[in-house]
Amino acid sequence: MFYRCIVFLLLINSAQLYADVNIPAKDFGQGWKASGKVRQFSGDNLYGYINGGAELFKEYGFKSLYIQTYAKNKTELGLEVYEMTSPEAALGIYLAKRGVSNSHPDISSLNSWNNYQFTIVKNRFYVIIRNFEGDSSFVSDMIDLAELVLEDVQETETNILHVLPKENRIQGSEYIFRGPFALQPVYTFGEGDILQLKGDVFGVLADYRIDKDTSYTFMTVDYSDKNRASLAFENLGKNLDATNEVLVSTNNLIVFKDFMGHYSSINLTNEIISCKIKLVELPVIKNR
Amino acid sequence: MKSSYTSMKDAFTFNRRSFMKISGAIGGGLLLGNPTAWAEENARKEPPATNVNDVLEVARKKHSLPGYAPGKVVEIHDHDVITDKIVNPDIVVKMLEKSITTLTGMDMKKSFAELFNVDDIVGIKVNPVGPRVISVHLELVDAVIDWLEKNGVARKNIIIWDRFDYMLTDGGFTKERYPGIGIVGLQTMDESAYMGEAEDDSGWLDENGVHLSMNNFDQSTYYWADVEGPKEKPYLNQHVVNGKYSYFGKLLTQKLTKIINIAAFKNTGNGISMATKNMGYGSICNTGRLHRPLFFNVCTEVLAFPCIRDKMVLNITDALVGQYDGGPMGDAKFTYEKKSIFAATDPFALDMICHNQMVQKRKEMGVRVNEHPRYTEYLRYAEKLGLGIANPENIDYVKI
Repeated sequence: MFYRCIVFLLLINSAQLYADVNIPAKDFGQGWKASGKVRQFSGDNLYGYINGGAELFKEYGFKSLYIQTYAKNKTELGLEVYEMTSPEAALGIYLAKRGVSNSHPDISSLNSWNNYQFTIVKNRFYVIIRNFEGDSSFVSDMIDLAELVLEDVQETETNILHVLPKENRIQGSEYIFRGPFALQPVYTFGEGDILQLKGDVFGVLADYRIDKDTSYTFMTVDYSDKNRASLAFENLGKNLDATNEVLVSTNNLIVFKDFMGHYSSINLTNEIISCKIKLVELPVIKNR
Repeated sequence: MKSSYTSMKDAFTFNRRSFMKISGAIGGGLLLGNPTAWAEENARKEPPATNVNDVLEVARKKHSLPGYAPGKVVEIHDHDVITDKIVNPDIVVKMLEKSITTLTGMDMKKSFAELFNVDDIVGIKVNPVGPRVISVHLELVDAVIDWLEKNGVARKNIIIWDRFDYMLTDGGFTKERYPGIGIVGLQTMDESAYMGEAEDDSGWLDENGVHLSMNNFDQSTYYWADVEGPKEKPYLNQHVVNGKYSYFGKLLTQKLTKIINIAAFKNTGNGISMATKNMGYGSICNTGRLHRPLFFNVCTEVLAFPCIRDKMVLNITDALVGQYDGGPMGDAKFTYEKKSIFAATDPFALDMICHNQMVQKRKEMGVRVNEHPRYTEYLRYAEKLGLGIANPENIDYVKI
């Protein structure tokens, strides 16, 4: 039986196929030579091999990492291919890591780039190509490498972000989270996995424009389970960060003022928890 | 003479190992800690007990933190210091001089006399993490050495140091580059053994099974915290000992009489990895165990020990190039030419100013920022301990 999702190795011309990814084994383009063998890390081996961020990858859903470098004269390009457990997980880590959102038109997949680095997401793969010198003359080589690596990977569309309202949404602010590590740069509701995502529920968020100078963040988590959502909401209410001043607390609504004087509202509706955070004005509270 | 901040490639051969290092591989996580993990674990419960109270009672000296200018932070900016990625060392010298004279209100000679003696053995703590990307610039270290030498400090009494010897080499701080100057890593670490590629442990263990660098640490001077270090070999390779004791390097406790702390301007998650972290996690061994339970508090408490508190007379933050995301390892994608040098005797005031600037930069660049006070709590803690000023309203920030 042929398991495409289990890591295997095949020689195809001068490229090695890892999962669905082609990693040139010897050379590519105009004179780029592979330096040594492809390094592969999987599961817990990721700890200690990438800078402090292993937990974040694991939280989104990490499967394997492949690393290879290519040398030409005294210059090197670095290739890192992260195989994640799903397209949603790959998109999540991509959005968390990409930095400024911009896209190079010559890369067919969703990407962000500058002269130093391309980050690309396609299906369940998150790819980084590093150009250590930042020399713009190597950008076309980076593109060639990206296209080569991902050419056999099927493009897939995930609808995970579709639940975010489009009106007034700030383009490029979309973000996916699956646990406390991913939430940390966004907001501190409290300690630990306070939303009880448990690494198997995705939440999504984006920033929304109120006017020219103000915005807020909207996030939503669909637990697909009314009881689980209710327990998560209860946990949130009991363990809100001590710096927050709770203004309203019912069995389906929490409103609080945070350390910066911003307001937040958290709603429980069936199996969904939705939040508006960093509001500059106290939200209108309907009779509930 | 000019040199490029990316041209340090001339100082070392770029190879696969360099790539692994730059891209964050080779133990970066365990070594530098995971800022997300730190913040996540911190304050979940009371942090473990430490021995910081034992040293708070030690009598203070003339140069004890926060030093000559408590709460004063100087930033010197020069647009021309980098052109086409080339650092102009002459301008770096002028920036350094301006930063120090503004900080002390005295000329360079009198500033030296205020902070040093001719007979001092001066340790320059650098941050070489992220070589070629965000490492402290050699040109700035050159300027500091030149200042010390001009005022009579012998080259043999100047020591460039960091915790790890191989990182100094990677950062270009070699004996060849700095003839006559001491180059000291508090410890070594066998990277190939760490990666599971070594034939045996002889690269980091002696014949008695003791870490080769054990004798570099002073077992009479330690930061104790009620948390055990992992028992695994890779941890010992990287951290020398496990257990509940983190020993200070003998360099600090027995040799150096003054310290100049030169940090790089970079983030670590929502926080910063600059002056206080450069010393807090760079002066002792067995730090991996401290990351989660004590978070940034280590950056405060380790600096309370007299071997740092009484000797660290000057803090310089190299912000010629800054990195606003992806730290503490170097990530070129997130670097920018900030073209500034900061100086302070008070590292906590310095870090507060730099933290706030980092937050602003991250916002400007569209990076999500969590401004929860937990990320600066260690600075306020330092103020409570009398080590520095953290309240921005009480910080005298001068930008020129």
